[in-house]
Amino acid sequence: MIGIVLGLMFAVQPSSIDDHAARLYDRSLIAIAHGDIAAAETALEAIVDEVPLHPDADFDLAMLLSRQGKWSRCAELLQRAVESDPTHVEAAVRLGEARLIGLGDPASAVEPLEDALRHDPANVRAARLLAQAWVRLGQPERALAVLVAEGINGAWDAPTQTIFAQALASAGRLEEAAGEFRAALELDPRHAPALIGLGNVLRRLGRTADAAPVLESFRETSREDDEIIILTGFVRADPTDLDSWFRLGMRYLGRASWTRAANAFAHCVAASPDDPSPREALGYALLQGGSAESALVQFRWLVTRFPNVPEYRNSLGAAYLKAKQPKRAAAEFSQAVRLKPNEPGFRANLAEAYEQAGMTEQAEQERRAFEKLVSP
Amino acid sequence: MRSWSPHSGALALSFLLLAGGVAEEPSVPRLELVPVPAGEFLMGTDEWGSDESPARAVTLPAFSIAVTETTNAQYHAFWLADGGASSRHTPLNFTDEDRVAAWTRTVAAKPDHPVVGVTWFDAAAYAAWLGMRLPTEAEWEKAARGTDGRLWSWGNAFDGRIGTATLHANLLRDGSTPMPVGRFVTGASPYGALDMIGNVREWTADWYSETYYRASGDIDPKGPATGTWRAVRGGSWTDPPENGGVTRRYTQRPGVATSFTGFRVARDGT
Repeated sequence: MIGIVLGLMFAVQPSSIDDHAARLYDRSLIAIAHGDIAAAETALEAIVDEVPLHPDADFDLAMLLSRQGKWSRCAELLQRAVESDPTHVEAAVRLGEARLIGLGDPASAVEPLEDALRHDPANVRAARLLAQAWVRLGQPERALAVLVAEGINGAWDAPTQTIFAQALASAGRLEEAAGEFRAALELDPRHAPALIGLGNVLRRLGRTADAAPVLESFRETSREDDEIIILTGFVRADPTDLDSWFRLGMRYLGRASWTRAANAFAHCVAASPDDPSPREALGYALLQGGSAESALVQFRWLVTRFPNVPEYRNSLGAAYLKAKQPKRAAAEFSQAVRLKPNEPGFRANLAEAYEQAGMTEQAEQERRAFEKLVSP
Repeated sequence: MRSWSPHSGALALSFLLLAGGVAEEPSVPRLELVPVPAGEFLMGTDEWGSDESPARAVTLPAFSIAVTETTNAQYHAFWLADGGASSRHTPLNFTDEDRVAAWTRTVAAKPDHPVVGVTWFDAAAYAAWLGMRLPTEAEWEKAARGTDGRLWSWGNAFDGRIGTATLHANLLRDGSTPMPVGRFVTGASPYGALDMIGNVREWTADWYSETYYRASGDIDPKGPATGTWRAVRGGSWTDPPENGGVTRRYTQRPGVATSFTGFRVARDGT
């Protein structure tokens, strides 16, 4: 009798464990989609504890830990994922990445990256990381061979192009390296490793005058990159850190990354809905990103609360203009002009709105007022 | 677009006998397809995530795609034909109940909801049973955005006013949950496909690669030869709008079933 009962239990249990794990996993994915990283981690830790073979949970938890710089545990989980599912190419690639970048151990990164490329010969990320590992191990020829393999060389992005250039530089082929670094900068003019690589190669070639502006660009870019990395770290560690969210949004605005900027400002607005500054910034990011209707919502809120701030009236007018509602735009710009008659930008906007509304006489009148304000 | 009423009860109640006409032949609740003519469209964007760039012109042959995501009732017909309780394609449920019992209850209670809890293999098996297939990523995106490069199925602004409506998709908001298919009529794509954005994410036929757009050809691309994840499109009731529109690419391992991923079917020609 006991044997029968145990037999039934074992017949049923694996499937119910699978379903239970699948539900927990589902919960973790929803938490990730909502940006609730703590909840995602809790669900994933539960699966990792309860289910010995769940490469997806191992992988996702490893990815969350890598964002926090917990590379040892990240590598352990990825190793487990690869062992339980050798076809999990992304786990192998990320294991190589964790060992190469996170733990600084290029020798141990080679094996999983080679495994990944065996399963997926067109995996550009695996090829790039493997090439990077070979460069660090002082074997640039092997790096070059990886990158020119069929299936890889047609899909280079700026980082991959840069590793190719670094391998050439490492092999002493400096003129070729300079050309390849320039090719990387054509793909992404702000790619810091390509900028410093090109600057250093030019210096090694004795072209210090050419190297100077390149290295200056690198210094500027890396300062901005560093700040974004630092601010991203702050908001990940503490999603309620509104000051960092705001500064991150401003950084993205500076880079014309409108969607990312809007996302950052939206965090501030959600947490502090009565604060006008993030609203204005959010509206601006949305407007620049082409979401005039969404921008209108933000600017209408501002004008309702602060009807006598001319800048908000002007922003609302700009949103109306972009939403192809020139008469409403003109009404808002008129209010801005009434509140601040000597601001030439408001006058120019009003003229444009009148023009688009077909009110040519008024447009001409405002244009004259604008010219009067800006003439010496 | 073929005539279709999104609020028609006929969607769930009228059953269409599949070709063959044999008494035992499985039947499936009416499945409406919209034709997508052959030609070029803009795929991807250079604005959002790097895996969506470069934006480029892609040419596809004519194909047809389901107006809506596959519903519980439609999938149930397949499940019955596949052996019912003994089928390997019983959807996962998310309520800690027995799978078969929960699935049967779900079908009865929510026949017009999109089927969820299905793996890529389940979705592909259903499509094959119908003599169809899952859309490629390129087909999915063309069906969702048409040829004018728009960012959402209905235009370029997420909450732009259409008629009196400003909400055109079932994405994350307070209390969001899966809804019966076809409720957001103002969210229709240029070809008339509904819920391309929101409700549930949708499996596509393709493997996912973050660098695929840089390497793929521009004639009927069908995804990388292999991979870890399948490409999933459209966003769901769990996804905030800022995660992106018709160009956004999600990933999911083919054997993983979730409460927010379903699918729709497609076939060659119109």
